[in-house]
Amino acid sequence: MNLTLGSRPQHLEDGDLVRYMDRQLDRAGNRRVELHLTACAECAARAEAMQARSRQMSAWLADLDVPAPDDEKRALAMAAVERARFRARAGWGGRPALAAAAMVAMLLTVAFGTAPGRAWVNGAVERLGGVFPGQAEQEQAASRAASPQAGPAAAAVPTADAEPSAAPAATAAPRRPTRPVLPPGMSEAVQFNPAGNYVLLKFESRQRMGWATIRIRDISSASGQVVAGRRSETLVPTSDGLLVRNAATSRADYTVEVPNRYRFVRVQIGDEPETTIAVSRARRDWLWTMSLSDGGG
Amino acid sequence: MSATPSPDQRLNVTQLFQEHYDALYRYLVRLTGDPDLAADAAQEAFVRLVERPPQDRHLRAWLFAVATNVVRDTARARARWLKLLSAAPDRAPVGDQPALPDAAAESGERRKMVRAALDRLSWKEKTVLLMREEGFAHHEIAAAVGTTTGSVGTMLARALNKLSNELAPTSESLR
Repeated sequence: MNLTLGSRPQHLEDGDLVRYMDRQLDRAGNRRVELHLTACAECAARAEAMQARSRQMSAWLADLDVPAPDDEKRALAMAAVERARFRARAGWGGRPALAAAAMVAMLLTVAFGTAPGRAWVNGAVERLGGVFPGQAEQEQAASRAASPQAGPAAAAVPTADAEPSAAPAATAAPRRPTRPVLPPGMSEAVQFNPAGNYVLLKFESRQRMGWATIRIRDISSASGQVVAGRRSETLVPTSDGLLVRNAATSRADYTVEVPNRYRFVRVQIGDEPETTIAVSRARRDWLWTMSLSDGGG
Repeated sequence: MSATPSPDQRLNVTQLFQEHYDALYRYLVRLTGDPDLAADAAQEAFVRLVERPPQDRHLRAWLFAVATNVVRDTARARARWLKLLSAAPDRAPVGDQPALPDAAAESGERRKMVRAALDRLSWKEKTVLLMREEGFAHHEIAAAVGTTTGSVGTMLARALNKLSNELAPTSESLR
């Protein structure tokens, strides 16, 4: 950086003193200021005063500080970041994309033959591509599990690492690589394998905000996961699907992956009428999202 | 549609949050005097980092610049809202100023004076001063406030002198 000459002949500008103080001058400029300060008592005094002001400023500004946000606020902020990460990974361009979800839902309803008016009365729906949380891991697990026992099982089985107390390696499902630390707001994936020809996904309540993403594709085992904003929400495998224990104050986002061998995916939120997605084997890879909030997210 | 961040970038978001959230929050509290607004703006900056990952390698500076813009935009919207309220006095909220719990204490008095003096600086002066306090180089500050690197030193000197002139006598009297 070049040194600017002061307007007063033979003296440095205050800006030069700050640049020197902050080590923002290049070597030549720095040398020039040093030489000047050695020779000019007035500028040396001004430089010293500027240093004192700077130190005093730090003390004054420290008076304004408040304690850093507590863990809950930090967790909420991180949850918002995780939701954004989830949207980005799912290939959503950003929040404005959600506004188009209802329109896309209408097109999908027509295209895939789901009964209009029944399917997505309160929830916006969107079909999207892109990377899906946990997709790579689950694809690996699915390929490893492509064995005779990989078909629908009578009982729902949590993944081996979902609950520390689960029977170690007793299930047929292979153990996925253990992640050392879950990001805030996420839960472990929970696997379930209903024996019937449908999957029932039941949410105990609508939420303050949040989205459920349902992916129907060619995999062997169904699974669900809280991907962002989790506070106390839990996922419980049932005999015919997955129960989401949430509350009206929840803000969590969920993903559910369903094998396309099932004929229907039924979604129920609270006491509202059920929504049914008819699975078409012709469409091997669907991604749906639905808002869990009353206002559409 | 924005580019999907690479796995490395995704990994870094959590790391960046852990590393910079507290400093960003502190800076924003100093900038705004409003812890809630500071928390919101800090969160928004990280969300934008995910949604529109910058090409800029100086992510810390980028986060501070974005959060500063969020605060500035919010302040503008708030000013418009207050203007609207003042134009319709019947709808204006009525009430006392919220009292600080330690308003009588000396530290509370000094804090109010510093806050007031800081708020009398121009937006740019305040921003450059507070970003410098967080250890940013002048070129990073210049990028954040939209000015030349060379003028940052001048702005800093002006801000330091102004605050010092306003606060130094009162500071002495409050010791």
